[in-house]
Amino acid sequence: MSYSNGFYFILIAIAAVLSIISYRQGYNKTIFIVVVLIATLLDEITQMIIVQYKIKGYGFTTYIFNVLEYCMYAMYYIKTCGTDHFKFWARFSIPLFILFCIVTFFLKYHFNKYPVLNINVEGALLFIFYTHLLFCLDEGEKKSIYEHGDFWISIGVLVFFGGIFVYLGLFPILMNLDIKQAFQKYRLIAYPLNILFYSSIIIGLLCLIRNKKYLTR
Amino acid sequence: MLDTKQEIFNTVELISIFFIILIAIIIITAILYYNRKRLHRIEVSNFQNILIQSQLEVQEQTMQTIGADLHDNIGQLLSLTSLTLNSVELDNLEKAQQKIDAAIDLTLRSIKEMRLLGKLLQGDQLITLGLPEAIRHEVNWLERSGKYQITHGVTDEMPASSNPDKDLIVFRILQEILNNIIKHSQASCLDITLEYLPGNTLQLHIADDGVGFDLENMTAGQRGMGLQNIQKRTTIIGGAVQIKSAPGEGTHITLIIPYP
Repeated sequence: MSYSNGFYFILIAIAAVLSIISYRQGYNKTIFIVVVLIATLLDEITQMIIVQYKIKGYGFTTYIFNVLEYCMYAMYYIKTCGTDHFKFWARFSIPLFILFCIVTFFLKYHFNKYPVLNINVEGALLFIFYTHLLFCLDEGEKKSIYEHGDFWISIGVLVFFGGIFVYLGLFPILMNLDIKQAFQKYRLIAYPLNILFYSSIIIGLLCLIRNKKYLTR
Repeated sequence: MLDTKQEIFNTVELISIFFIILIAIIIITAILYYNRKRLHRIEVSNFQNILIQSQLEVQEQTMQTIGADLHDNIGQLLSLTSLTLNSVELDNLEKAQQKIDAAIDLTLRSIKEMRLLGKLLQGDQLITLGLPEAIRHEVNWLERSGKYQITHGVTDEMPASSNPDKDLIVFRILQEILNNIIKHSQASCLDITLEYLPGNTLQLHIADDGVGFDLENMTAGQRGMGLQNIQKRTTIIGGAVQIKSAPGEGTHITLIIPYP
């Protein structure tokens, strides 16, 4: 394991621990963050083993993780957002997304390819929901936006999924052109975005733990 | 081919960077939007606090005036009535008749003062009749003291839709100014005008011929809560206050407020 990978795993682990602490403090909605972070750790470890031992195929864990990740972040949004209209569409999108992933699995990927389309659709949906959340933060406590936990979590989601969207969307084409360069560029873009993502989640959870009074409309 | 491949990779990188910049713009917009909402909420909260405070102060002022009037005016009249009746001598019918007539006159005056006090008790309800009426009532009460010669021009041409919250705060500011005049100015002449100007603007002007004060060289402590309150409350309702005063030259205070 390289130092950069090690740092990445440490970040996810810290975020997971903080999410457990915030859940125990009474923030019930953070259970979804707990689940997704533990799933992330397991998925990353699985991927590392697959790459290290050169196991063929991407493993079903990626597909399952993709669906779980969307469901958990969508549920967190639903529990946080106060706008009923958007909550309805978010709830409605979960079974639709699961169905979409099942269809692409059978018709397109068959366990052989990285589910780029699924991740991009996931990213687009989460981008919309968390942009809405960013504009719905409750200013009622009269505190700075930077002390608002949901602000940091929303930024993390936006930066990661928004930043990776274009490259991931064109990844199959770039792989056909030059597989080595495609992966190099992907790591160059994905790694810092991942660090930003989990750092934002850590800051968000610290804000939640520090100030239990914050609620988002 | 190599160039084309590289160009494609570079283009994809550029588009990714553009998307990241777009996300940064979204985040900055959200921060600005949140800060604006927060400021607005603080302003609304401050306005509500000032409104409640003004309501309490108008009621307090009314009670103080009633208490003073009961003691100074009605109390004296009733004491005099009692003395007059006690001094009646039945063996001198003519003098007794005069004294009884005097006692009746004093009693009638007491009743008249009590009726006026009753109206004053409803003073803080006058706002429901409109700001011009409330100001007229306040001016009439001040005139009755006999200490001031007051010229007043209070417009009746107010807009159809009034703003009761602003009316209350403006009325409270007027009371604050009149209190300052009574306490500090040693004035004998007052001029109070209320006008509704074009451009949905209300102008309240109060001038006195009192001792005046050096506004520019006043320290924060010398200004006192009165002037600060006037400025703060005028600002809260979106208006501006102009104070002109100099030692020996009286004081002119003008409030300009968007209305309704």
